[in-house]
Amino acid sequence: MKPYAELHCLSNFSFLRGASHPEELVVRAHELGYQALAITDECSVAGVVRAYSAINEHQLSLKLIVGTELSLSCGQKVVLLAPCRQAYAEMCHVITIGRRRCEKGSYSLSKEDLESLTKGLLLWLPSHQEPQDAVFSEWLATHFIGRGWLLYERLMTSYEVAEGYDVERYTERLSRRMRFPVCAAGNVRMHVAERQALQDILTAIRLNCSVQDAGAALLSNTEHAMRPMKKLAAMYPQAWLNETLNVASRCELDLGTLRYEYPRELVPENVSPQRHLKYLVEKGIKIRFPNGVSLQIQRTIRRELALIEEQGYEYFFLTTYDIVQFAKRQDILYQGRGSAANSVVCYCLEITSVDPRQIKVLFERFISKERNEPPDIDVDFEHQRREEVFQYIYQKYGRERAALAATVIRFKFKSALRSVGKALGINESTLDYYIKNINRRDRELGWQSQLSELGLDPNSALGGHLIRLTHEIIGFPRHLSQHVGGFIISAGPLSELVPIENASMADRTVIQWDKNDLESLGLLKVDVLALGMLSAIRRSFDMIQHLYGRTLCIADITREGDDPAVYAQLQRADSIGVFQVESRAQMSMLPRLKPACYYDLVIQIAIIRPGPIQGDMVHPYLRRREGKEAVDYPSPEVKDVLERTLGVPIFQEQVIKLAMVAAGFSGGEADQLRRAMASWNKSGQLQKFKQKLIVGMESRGYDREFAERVFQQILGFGEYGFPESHSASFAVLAYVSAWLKHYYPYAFYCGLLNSLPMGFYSPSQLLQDASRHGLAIEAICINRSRYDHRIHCDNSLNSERRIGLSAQGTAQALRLGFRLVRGLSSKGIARLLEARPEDGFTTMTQVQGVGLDRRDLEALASANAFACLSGNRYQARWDMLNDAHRLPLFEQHINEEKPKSLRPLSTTQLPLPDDWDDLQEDYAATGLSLSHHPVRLLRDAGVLGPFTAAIELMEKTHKSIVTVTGVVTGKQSPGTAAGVTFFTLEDDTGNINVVVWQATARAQKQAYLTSKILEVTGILEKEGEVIHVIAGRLSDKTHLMNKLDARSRDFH
Amino acid sequence: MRWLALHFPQLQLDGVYSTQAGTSDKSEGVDDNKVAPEPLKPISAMLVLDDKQCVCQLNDAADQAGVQYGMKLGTASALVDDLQLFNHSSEFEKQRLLEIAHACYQVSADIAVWNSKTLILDVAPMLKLYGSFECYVDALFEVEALDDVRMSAVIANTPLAAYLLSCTGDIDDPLVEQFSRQDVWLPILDRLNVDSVGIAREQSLQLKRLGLHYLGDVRELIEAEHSRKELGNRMGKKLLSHIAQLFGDEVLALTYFKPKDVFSHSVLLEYEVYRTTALLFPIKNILQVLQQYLQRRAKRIQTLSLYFQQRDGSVLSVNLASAEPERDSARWLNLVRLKLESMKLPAPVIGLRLEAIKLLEERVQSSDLFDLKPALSPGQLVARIQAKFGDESVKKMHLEADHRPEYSFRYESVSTQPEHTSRLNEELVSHDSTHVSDGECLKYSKRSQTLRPSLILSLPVPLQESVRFIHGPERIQSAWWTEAPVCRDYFVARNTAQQTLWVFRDQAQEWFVHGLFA
Repeated sequence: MKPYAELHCLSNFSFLRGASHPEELVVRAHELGYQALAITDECSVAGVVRAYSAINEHQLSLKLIVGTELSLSCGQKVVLLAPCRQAYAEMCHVITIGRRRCEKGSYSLSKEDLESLTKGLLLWLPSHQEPQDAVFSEWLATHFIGRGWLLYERLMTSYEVAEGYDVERYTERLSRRMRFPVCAAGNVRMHVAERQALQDILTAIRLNCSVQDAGAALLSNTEHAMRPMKKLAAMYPQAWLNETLNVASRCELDLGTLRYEYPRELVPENVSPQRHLKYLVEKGIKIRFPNGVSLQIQRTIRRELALIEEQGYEYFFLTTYDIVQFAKRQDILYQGRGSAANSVVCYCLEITSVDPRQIKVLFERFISKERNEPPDIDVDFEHQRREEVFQYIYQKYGRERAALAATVIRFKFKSALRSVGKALGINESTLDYYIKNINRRDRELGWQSQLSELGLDPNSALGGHLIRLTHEIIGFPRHLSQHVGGFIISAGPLSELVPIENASMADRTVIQWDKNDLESLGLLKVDVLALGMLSAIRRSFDMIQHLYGRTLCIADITREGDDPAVYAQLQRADSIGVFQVESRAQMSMLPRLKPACYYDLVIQIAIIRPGPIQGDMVHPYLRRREGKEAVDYPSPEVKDVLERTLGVPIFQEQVIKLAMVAAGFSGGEADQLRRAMASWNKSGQLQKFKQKLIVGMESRGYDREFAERVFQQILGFGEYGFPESHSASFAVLAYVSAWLKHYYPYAFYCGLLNSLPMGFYSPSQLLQDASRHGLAIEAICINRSRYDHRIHCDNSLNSERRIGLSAQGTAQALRLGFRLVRGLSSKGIARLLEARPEDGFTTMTQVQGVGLDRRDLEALASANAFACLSGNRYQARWDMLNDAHRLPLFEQHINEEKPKSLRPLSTTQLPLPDDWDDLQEDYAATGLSLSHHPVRLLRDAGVLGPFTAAIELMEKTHKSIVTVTGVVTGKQSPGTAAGVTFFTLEDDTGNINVVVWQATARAQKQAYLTSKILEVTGILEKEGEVIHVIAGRLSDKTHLMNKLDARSRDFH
Repeated sequence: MRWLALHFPQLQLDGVYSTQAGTSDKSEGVDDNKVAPEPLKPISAMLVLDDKQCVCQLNDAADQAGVQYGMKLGTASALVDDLQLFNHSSEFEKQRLLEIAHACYQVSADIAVWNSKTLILDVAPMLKLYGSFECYVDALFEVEALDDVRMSAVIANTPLAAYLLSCTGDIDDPLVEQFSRQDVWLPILDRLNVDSVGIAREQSLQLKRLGLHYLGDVRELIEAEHSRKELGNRMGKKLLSHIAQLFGDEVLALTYFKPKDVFSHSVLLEYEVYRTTALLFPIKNILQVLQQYLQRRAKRIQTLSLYFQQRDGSVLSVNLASAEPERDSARWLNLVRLKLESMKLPAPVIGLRLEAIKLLEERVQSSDLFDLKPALSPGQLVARIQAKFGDESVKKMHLEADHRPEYSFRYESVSTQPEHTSRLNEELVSHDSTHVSDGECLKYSKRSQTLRPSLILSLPVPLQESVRFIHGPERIQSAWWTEAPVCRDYFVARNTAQQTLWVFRDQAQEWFVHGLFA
């Protein structure tokens, strides 16, 4: 068999055109004995790194060529190949130009754009339109002498064999005329012929029609699959096949040699980066350790610096340092996390605030030579100010040198079923019905079986196609999107390293590689992420400084050491609003785990995650912590890995390490395992390790059951990996927010409320929590509110509220801000605040004179902001609806003190709202009510039966039968708790946690699914301070709200 | 004046023909009189969804399961296990309402189509004719078209009031004559939520946020002249005018329905129908309705059209003609059955409509083939020829974008109606370059004309002579989703008689002739 190199091949990164993954293509090319394979995705290099990694992973003797297929504006199609680094840079540059000109997803290039290519090879696929081909061939002959070819692709389609026309001879003729050699190619779109069906489906999706209607747009046969060399030999002249090898032999580019050059401006001239980093660390030591640094920490710093130098990571740390220093200068709160972030070096560089003296146990685990991981530092910034950091980066390095990494958006189950179904001609409501009724978290019944339960016959042709093709398309890339914050910054133009294209967001550009690609090539990125809690904390700090004159920073609080009072509060599950531990599941775990120190909090945050839960590690850990189960280790190595978590694996790193010490994985295998957890085809990739892990652990004397659980845990991490280093950084913020909640509750709630939307809770829930903590809350007022909520100190306030006493001894209150008012424009708020007299408005007319939008005025009226001027919010709205004041005649009166010259606003008297009306209006206008609660109103109206209020549940005994009633504020069926739904009911005294088992839910579907106000009778479960009601009977009380409506009365 | 509103809240759902009984294979004898027995098993829950995928119509089974109007599909489908879904079609409802108006026109003269669900009938002029209100209502309710639809009928002294009351659905005895008395209906109107008084959503929202939750609130407010003026200033004169029309202080001019001399009847099918035989049951019912319709008018018809609404949205039309003007439903059914027997449904059918446009007087002389009137349109000519020779003899050719040669064209029956089928296919054939980004496909379709022989055999015949290949092969391997996927290598070949043949080899390595080049 004669060797062959395939030079024209599209992967599925030519979105909706290629029907095979790059990985599949290289493996198949190798099987067929191809010498080389060019991945030539359309105006893209997005798939090529996957191909590169697959070749390395499987150690294939296949040469990878990087290229791209381009359809030019003149109607010609060419394939560019990059023989060397320079050609590659030029090619990336051309792709960037073509992409940047157009909207996301498209490109536009003329042949003139290709004239900048000085090294690249060009293969031309003639259009077979004689006059156009003549023009183009002339142009080619001038610009690509010695590096141009004609492509001949035989695909057995009708046009190749049409009577009186012969593509082969036409190509030959052109070749003679141009003196370009002819080179064979296969125009590969799929690695095997069996992908034809999927290929057709992709075409139909692209054309937004069904395969039945796609007609001639579909491929007419399977010749676009990779073909065996024997077949190729029969179809192509030998010389043209040989020519492929000539072309391939000229391609010497190795993706592995692509090197990233860091921006040099970060280091002063004549100073080595090592020296500069050392200098900055020493500078940092003086800030972080004003009283001197211990020998042990000095040793750690030296070791870390040596490691950084050895791996050549100085610039990475310097780049991150530069970004956080910017944030520090701008007073933007930030916090680093990630494997490299938890080092003393990062503490000294002020990238993190994790004090090594307090948690020395953490160090040294993170930067490690043996694990071939690139260092990972993610920096979280205040979510509302992260854009400033982005702009700083763009400004400092320029858009040519800084861009965001891409995220590959792939077909997931829902989008896959919908797209494939549509392409098969199934109507959309049927598909909707399927999608809504399939529970992806049902671990016993796969979606395929569920589909047949929903009425799809899997044995019918259509059913079979739907199931098979949906399965096949899952994981296919659909388009590129921007990574949330992964920046790549380089010394030279980035487009010489990887093409840049437009993102859908205006003024954003992304590179064509995602973070896995960057990692595969050993390129480093800096993650600039947004975190709402940082905004909240910064606001709280500002308020504390302003009100009490105390300046705080995160490091100050952690440096004080673990505060028992703060942990006591957490142990009571008093954690609404506290970072990371405020969810329902976390709150029920807090009283059981009873975190008492920083590291407990690190575990607390990591344990309520899919990994430990799926691995069933939570209860063993609890038992051991409570001393109900002995802590033992099968071997000293395992003890080393698991000692800090009482022998139970909790963190992702522990599980990987466990695979090494307990199942005999090599370093390389462990690395593959780690990558498999992050890859798109998780379960498929991870299954490969199952056997090895279980057999390995069993042969080393572990329980099979334990090994199975460890594997389940690995699958769980695949869904949501959670390494210890992240938990460690999050725990700092969790502690700081809990600390604020304990010592400065006003500043805490106020900072949180001003940073919404974030976290789990609505303003209403947060404010109810605040008032249960005894905080005074004051309604929105036209004369007293500002845009934001604020803390308001006033000696005249009731000084009995001890918690409200500020440092100066004056009582405080939280005044709600205009930001809560729905439909009120920020422009309107600004205008209002600007025009508001020092001592407030005295009449409604005066407010009207400010010149606000009618909508704004109505919104304010309905929010009862005029309560101090008008007793009736309906009347206020009515008055504000009047357009009369808008007449120019009245404008001059605005600031004059004679409102009596104006006509009275209205002579009509509107009904006075009752409590129910007020509640409705409160919710409609602001989403919360300070004065009323629906359950309270219903109870007062006497329409509810007897029930136990949330606050009284504490006094009930374990296993007693209780009835509770509340507004359904939360309904969660986590995938990690099979068949259980957690309801949160809210009455006027607090929240009630209700557990509804699947059978209960099924038997009372209507109440379960649709209730807004729910009455539950069930059994009280009490474990320490954790209280649940296990639901027995559910009854929907929503309709009772109609009874509150006083005016559904007879009018006569 | 008194006005009667007929409100049909579930027009689409009521139009669903229950095929559950009809589709069983045993019931062959369609022309027996008792073909469509009552459905045996309880009807499953059926929902009509609006474009936001929310429930807008539901049947009793769905109601019992707790499904409510406005519910999201997700919630509804969690409540009911076995669910039939339909997308709302206002076209269908409009059509059905016109059909009902048509039927009512037999007993009541002034009928206004209020919206897609409601008819307003002017009662006053009819009282003279019928003598009493009771007699009128009795006559009206005799109209068969009203039998199988859910309806609420309310009489009031303004059209708007009648309409609003008919929508409320909680009135015990809406047809009592005293309803024309204000003291009876005013309290009911007063209790209407402002959401349901026929004003724009923004307006009703605005009213509520002023504490005016019920029509009565608004009415009481505007009793005072100054308040009426102030409300007008704030909410616009249109609102005041609307209320005035409601209470009869302002007259609303209605446009009355003018019937066309056309019979049309639509039904939706409960299930997608794949076989033509299953369509006979609903058609039989409609033909019976047609027969009564014609009897009443002393008319006959010679042609009728059937429109099959297919799942993909396209409509398949079938025209039938009888040799003689005919009214008898059984005869027409026979014709329909003959026609459908030979027909294959290209896509499942979800609804159908029967239409007879040309109603002929009772005594019409039948004309023979050569007695052609000059005014005959080509369509009529075709219909005439079809009537004489059977429509199977008249065909027209249609090109399809299909890689399989035998499906690249088809003969189809000639219809006088414009064809709606495979619109997309046609687009792909005629302007391929705009839709298709792949160069290959572009070339393919441009050159495809030159490669296909002028005569393609409908059935390939085995090749039984030696041939010499000229071109080839072209491989066609496509249509995996159909029942007739192909995988063949085609060659252009010449036989000893110098005929140019189009031959192929199939997967079993057998050779066939599929066409001849001219």
